[in-house]
Amino acid sequence: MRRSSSRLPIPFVAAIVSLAVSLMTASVGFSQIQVVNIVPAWRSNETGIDSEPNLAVDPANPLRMAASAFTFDSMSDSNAPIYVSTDGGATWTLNSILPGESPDFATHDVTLRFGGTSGILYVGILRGDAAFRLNILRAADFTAGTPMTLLVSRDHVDQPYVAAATVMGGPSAGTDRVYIGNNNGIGGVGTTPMATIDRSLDAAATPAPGGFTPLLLETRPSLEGDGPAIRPAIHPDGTVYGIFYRVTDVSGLSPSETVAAADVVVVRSDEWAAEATPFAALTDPSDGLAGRLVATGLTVPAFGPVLGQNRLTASNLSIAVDPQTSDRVWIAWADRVGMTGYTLHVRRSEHRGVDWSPDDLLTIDHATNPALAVSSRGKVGFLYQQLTGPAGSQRWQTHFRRSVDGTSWTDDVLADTPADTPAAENEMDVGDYLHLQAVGKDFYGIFSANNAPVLANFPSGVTYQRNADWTTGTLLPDSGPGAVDVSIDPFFFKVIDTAPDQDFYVRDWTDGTGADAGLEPSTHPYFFTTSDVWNQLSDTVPTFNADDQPVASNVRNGVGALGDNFAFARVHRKGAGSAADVSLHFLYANFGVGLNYQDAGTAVDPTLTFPAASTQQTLSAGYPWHLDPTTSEHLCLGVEITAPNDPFVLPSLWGSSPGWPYTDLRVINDNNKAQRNIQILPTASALTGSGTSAAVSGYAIVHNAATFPRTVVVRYEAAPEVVKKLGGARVEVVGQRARPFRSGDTIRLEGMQPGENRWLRITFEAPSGRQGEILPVYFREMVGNAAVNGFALVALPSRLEDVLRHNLEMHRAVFTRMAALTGNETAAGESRAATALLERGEISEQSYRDFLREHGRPLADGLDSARKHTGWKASFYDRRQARRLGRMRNVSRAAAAHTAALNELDALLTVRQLAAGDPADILQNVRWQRDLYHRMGPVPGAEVVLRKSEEFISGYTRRDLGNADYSGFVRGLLGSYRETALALRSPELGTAVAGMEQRNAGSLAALQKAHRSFLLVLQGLPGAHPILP
Amino acid sequence: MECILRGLLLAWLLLAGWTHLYAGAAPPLDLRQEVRKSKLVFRGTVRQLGAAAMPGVPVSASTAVVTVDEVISAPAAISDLTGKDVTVALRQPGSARPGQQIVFFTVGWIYGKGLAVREVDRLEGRQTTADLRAALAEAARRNEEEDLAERIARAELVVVGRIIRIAKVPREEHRPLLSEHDPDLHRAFLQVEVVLKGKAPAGEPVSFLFANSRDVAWSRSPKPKVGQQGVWLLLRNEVPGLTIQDLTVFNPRDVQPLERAAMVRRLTS
Repeated sequence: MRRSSSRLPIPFVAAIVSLAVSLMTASVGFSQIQVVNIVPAWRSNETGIDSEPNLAVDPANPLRMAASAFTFDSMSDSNAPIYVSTDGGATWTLNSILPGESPDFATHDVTLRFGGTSGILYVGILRGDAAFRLNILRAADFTAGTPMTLLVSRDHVDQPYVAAATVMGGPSAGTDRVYIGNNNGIGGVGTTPMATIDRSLDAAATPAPGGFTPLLLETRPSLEGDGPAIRPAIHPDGTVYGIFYRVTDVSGLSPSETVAAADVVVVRSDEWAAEATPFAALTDPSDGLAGRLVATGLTVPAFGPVLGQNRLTASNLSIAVDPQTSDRVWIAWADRVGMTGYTLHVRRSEHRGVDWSPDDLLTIDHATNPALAVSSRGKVGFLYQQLTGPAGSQRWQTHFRRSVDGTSWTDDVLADTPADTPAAENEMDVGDYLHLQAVGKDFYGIFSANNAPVLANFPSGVTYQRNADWTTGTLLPDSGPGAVDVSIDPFFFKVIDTAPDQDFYVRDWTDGTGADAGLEPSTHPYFFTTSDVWNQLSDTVPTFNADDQPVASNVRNGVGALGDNFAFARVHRKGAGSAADVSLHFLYANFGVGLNYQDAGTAVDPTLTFPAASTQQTLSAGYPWHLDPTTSEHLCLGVEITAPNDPFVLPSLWGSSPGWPYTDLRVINDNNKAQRNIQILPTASALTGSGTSAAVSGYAIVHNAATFPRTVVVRYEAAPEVVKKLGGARVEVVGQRARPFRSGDTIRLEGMQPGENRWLRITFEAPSGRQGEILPVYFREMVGNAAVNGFALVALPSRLEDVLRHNLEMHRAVFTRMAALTGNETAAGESRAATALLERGEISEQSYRDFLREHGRPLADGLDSARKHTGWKASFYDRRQARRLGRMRNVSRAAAAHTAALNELDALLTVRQLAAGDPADILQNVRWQRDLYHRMGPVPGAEVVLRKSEEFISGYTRRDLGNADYSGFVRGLLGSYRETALALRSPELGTAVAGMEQRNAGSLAALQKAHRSFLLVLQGLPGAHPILP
Repeated sequence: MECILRGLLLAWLLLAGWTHLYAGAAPPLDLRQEVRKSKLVFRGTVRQLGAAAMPGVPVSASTAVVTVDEVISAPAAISDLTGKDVTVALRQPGSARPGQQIVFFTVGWIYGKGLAVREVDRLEGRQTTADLRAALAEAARRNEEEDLAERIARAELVVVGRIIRIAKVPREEHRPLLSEHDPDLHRAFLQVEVVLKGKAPAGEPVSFLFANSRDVAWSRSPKPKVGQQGVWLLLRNEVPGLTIQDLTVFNPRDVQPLERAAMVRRLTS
């Protein structure tokens, strides 16, 4: 699905940014900075100009890093080195694993990136033994010291710059996507260098050439070509941006002037650059061609002028996309303002590059080497080097600045070093570029500077590995007496944005191999099945299984204590330190995808107290929450945690669903949030003795949580061995034809209206697995390339006795619910009968058979009754089969049929319940209303509706307002609604307003339904209909 | 006596142009190949197998901690390693035993607090350090001569001469590349004094292109100066990625000091 900025109303973004700023300002100033000279001790004799550094931090394990610079290896026959750290940058070694070094010419232009979760290192280089020969390299283990695998070798290429990510969901889940910006065609016969990105859609697994294909970014005719810097930036949802200088005139490139005229161009792909015409998603209004001209007519010094001792080469571009939303993208470029100097400019787009902040958000004079990165919290980091001081005593100041809004910036000076020494004969004392990377909340970067061991030169502190005498400010050789001349070295730095002892998280996953270490984004594609939030039916001390996963219970509804549940969570932090309190807020939603969360319980949020030495705390007393008899037991549980310096990222899950109101990856990206969305279906395994099986069904809701009609795409998958064991599994949208379950298939639910629910049913034969074997089937809502939400249906082969007990408990719960919803006395009797049998203790096969014989008919009646209210047709489990339940000789088969019938009845009750309105959708209604009125423009009533809607959304998001304020909110807008209906001459709209008025005094659900009816009518009117993305 | 005999043998071998050394039953080492392949040659005593002398080295059955007894040949930038422990990645696991003294021919592998090297080859005989150094130096000299001869063979023109003028190549003649790695082509004009190979126009200076750029890609490429005298090897461009057809001086070997004129003449013939 292609995204459009029309989906993201500007006021909403502004509100989110504003709220984020208000919450994060308190922590913007914190930083724990580590600066490390990465030249190893054994190389203490070296005096090279080790400039133009680059850095890769493994997002899946930030302890692992690789770096590069103009560092050469006189001890190698034909390889050039990279720097390697496996302890988070504290210590470094130098491994010669890059090909192409020759005694006469050095390998150069080395940039490196890791795959998102694969741990594979990808490197682009220009070989030393040929001019402009690109090599693309891959290493599964970059620490082994063995030469990297050559994937691509191509001539006439300049300045490869690597970006990489791992696909987290969808058909390509787990593949590494690698994008290497480069200027292709340089020096070729009759060719002009053109901005290009070499793209691979599966770089980890594809043999050489690794699936790489050069994709041309430049779409405009050009005699001069493009500048050497082409920088890519990737968002996990499949959006890929690129930025480059389009050189329009080189007449100034004479020996005396050496400037070019250039435009800054931004391109975008919405599909991992896998479209038929990649990077064409962003066009310029001036000519309709792909590539937005963000700044035009710039004067760019190139290939001659210097800043200090460093040449200026039109290489100073950077681009970074916000992990929270691919709509927000930051860029920086350099040009000459006036006749001399060099100026950096920072700008931002909130709308996928379509439009940009009209003025600079930051302007830095006499500076070079801009590098941008955005943290998981939306905080932008900006690294650059500024020349200060008068000629003869100039200094390079390396600045790292951060901002949450682009207006207020912190400023940490990492280095303040002499710019006049040592003499940089190659005019490269800091290099043409450097690099900054965000991993989670933290920033990692690298720069080059004068390496004199003088503490005052490093205001944020520094550690050296090479030998140095800090008292005399002298570099020392690797052994023996003497001194080593000052030179240029690469310096790694890490900025911990949240102190480890204040950085709390709830694990998204735990398995036998390890657990979530609080990484953002989470590295596990199934973040909703083994997370550290769970339910228990009793307030007992939690226990954990052999894989360190919490032992959870399904929720239970009922009257009084029977419906009491207890929510638990285990919280970790990244390091011990000071004592701290963390508050936890629990929420729940119906089972499926796109369902909006509501608060679980009304008790005060629990607090976990961390003693100073503790890094893990678990709620010892559960948070009590009650499920009244009308509520289904198929639910999703979520938690959001807040610590004084580590709040969860707004917006909350409250009133919304992960993935919406815009395509966020809310739970994956924020380690302060976790959800458990899993339904376990105990089934009598074949090992219980009967050997026969029967069909079992599970149900889930698909809810359109967006504020516009759309096609909802759900992808489902299961491991091959699971599919095999779930014999004859099939999946269907209820009301449509069932299809065989094939892992990796998708279901498209066309034309879903905002707030609409549809149902999925998966049916399978009771599996043949061993008892206790978990057989999960995963469903995930796909928005474009991103899996924004999901759930798991898990078949659990179990002892027959456990299945019988589970069914009786469910019989009780479903009929309790039916009785509460309908007042049906027969249903109440069914609930009582199941309770009575459960209370007898052990459930024998005979007693269960007797129960079914007696209660099969009421179950069939209940299904018939419920179907009448919903329009669902009789499923495979029909009235005749229900009546035969008790006569089935095979108890396993009877139990499976009983499970299927109860699940269907529960789903039918939910359908009926939601058809009457859903308070969980109140905030969605208001957002939808805001967006509709925003699209309609200045119709009567709109101004008030828009203002009040924004206030409600803002207040709701801050928790100043809640569902209790909804009735008053709607009542306050009735007049405006009427104005709108009158102006639009829509009797249907007038009727809908009357419906709201009528139900305003009723239940919240009824009011929500009436409000939604109004919005549906409004949406169908001319002017309000959205432009479908 | 044994020492004298071995010295005489070595001298005879060198005079005869032999640069192979025998290591017991192993095939003879081609020292000229070893010099090309290895960067650090040392005699060391194996201390521990399956271990490393510094952190950051992936330990395996092939890694060994070796004490450097004597450095035989090393790059100039390296301090004396004598007496230090280094990690050696052996070519074959189990090919050494603790206490064994071996002459290792190695290349760099990992540099951290200490040094880890990869074994390229070895000698297990009793050659003296002086013998080895002499043999290696001779092998290196022969390699250098061979490389120069190979360069001369490819040159279109080899002359002794002096640079009389240098000019930036005008844009009309060669459009500069939009790259920081543009070679910044300059043309040098040579007053030819002696032609060693090829034909130079009589009485006219000969010109060639060179990379005046100090960029990392060209920093080791010769930068002639006006008045510079030397032996010049002029080749039609051979650098992949550059499409010029002129005579060029890009390789450091393409400029030789005057005192090598006789050697170049010999190699030319």
